Amino acid sequence: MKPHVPIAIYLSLVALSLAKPELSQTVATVAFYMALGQAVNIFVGLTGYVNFGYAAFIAMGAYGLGVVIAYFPQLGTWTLPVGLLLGVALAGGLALAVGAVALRLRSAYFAIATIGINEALKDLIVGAGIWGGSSGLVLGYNMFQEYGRDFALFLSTTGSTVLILATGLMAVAATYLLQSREIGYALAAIRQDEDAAKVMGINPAKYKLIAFVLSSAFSALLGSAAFPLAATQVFPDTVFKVDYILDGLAVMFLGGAGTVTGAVIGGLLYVPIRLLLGQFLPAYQALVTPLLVLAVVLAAPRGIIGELRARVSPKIREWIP
Amino acid sequence: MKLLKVENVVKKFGGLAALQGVSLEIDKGEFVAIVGPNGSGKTTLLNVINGVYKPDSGRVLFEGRDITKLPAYARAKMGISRAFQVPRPFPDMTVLDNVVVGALFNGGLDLQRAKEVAREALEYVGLGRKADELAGRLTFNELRLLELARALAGRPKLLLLDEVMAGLNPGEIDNMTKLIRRVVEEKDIAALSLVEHRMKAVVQLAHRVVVMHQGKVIAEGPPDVALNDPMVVEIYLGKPWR
Ligand SMILES: Nc1ncnc2c1ncn2[C@@H]1O[C@H](COP(=O)(O)OP(=O)(O)OP(=O)(O)O)[C@@H](O)[C@H]1O
Ligand SMILES: [Mg+2]
Repeated sequence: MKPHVPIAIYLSLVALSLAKPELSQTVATVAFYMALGQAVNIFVGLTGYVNFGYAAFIAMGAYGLGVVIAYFPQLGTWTLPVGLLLGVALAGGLALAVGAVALRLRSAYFAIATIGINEALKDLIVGAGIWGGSSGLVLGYNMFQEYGRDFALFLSTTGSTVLILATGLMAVAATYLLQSREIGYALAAIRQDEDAAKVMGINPAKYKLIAFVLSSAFSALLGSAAFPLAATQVFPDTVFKVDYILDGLAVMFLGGAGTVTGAVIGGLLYVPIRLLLGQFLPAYQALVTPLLVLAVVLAAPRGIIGELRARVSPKIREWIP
Repeated sequence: MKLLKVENVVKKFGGLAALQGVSLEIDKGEFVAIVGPNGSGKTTLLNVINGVYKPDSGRVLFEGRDITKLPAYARAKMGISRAFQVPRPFPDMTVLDNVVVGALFNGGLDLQRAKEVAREALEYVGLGRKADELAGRLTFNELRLLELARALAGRPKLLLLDEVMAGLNPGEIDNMTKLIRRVVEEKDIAALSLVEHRMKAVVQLAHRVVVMHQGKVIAEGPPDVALNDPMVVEIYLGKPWR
């Protein structure tokens, strides 16, 4: 397996967003879906389990950084690393807690169990009025204070784009490393026949939990980049959106579930496809993503990269892991 | 100390008692065949031994340790390997990778060593040429051989074989018999082999035969003795063995 292609694509996008700041917004949108698909792939693609709670992970990332910027201005520039870490810790802790209980369930039951997480957390924040409650966190003023005007502006434009790209790149590396090590064999076995895997000495709960926590951490970084950093605000209604899991699944299936390169290609295509389909079916915007997922799953269940891998010689296959 | 000890195991499915107080012992290096008609509880017993099912009562001891409550993966790590009655390959993995899984997790090897051991195991069963093919593309006979290679790569102390001859043609049965004989003679492992019919090929390899019927052990001993037991003869439609 050679991970050069997906890494090269990510590095080109980093170069593009640094060289042409005016394109930063577009790159950020595309990269967000690429990275989201990659994060979703690490759990859903590698284990075959579906988690509907991704919005909660994204929200934990958004609130983690948002809360530190809003309530700890004395930390100055340190709010950035501390906030990112807090977001990852909140999402990872949530994944650990949910996973330790619910990952003992079989896939369909697990999926159902995760549906409630988004709503429960959102209701908690809004209902109990914590972290700004329903009026959210508005961070522009604090960011100017903590980072200085120029750096704050940089962070909310190119800076957040680069963080999204870096997250995607780390997720690519993680997918690649997982696949080429022991745990990759365990996850592939679990995905294909969990009972047989168990009889062969694999503890499914352990490996599923590792993938779940990793996947949650990358989702949290995306939440930090897209909301407090780029939008300079965190609102419960925008961070707790079920759409994210649909987008992530669409990108993953389009490119190829369980592959390293799939989400990269799927993400690059997803935004243009949505724009195009949206123009032809303007009244049915909300239907575009689910229909796309359905069409891909029916027509090419292995996705673009999966189908390619099945058709090319082993030598070329090495290059599109 | 016995390698495996099954004590008075009872396993019920709803109203049906699939195992009604089964006891069994296996020594290190011993090859035991369990013979019994369809539905007599053979596979259920295997499932209780390797942890797929927990018994309703009774105990399972491995190397003197009570493993009745241990999950299947922990028992695999202690040295119990299994070939399934209906082959269960990981179809989207290569044949080699299937066996690597056995070597890694059942055998507790590191990845590099696991790959070596997996290759050896494939050569051993005669599947070396198929190493890089996807397991989903194998013929039924090859799947049976893959099951055996995967179990052997786990370097078991106890090998559980569930009707590994079922569905094979005479030539393939012959090949499998030779393989199992080699395993018994060359490798220092105990094996428990399930046989539906009194298939001579397998039964003759056994040091000891245990006959099951309706969830109970009804006879036990060297092949000739156990299979010519009057009750066993009656169950098999009055036909004496041989
Ligand atoms: N998971 C299960 N749920 C319900 N009943 C079961 C289950 N597994 C086995 N049984 C029943 O228990 C009895 C023993 O089945 P078992 O599979 O152990 O028999 P066997 O000796 O392996 O026979 P076969 O030749 O069919 O493999 C049968 O009546 C079977 O229908
Ligand atoms: Mg059976």
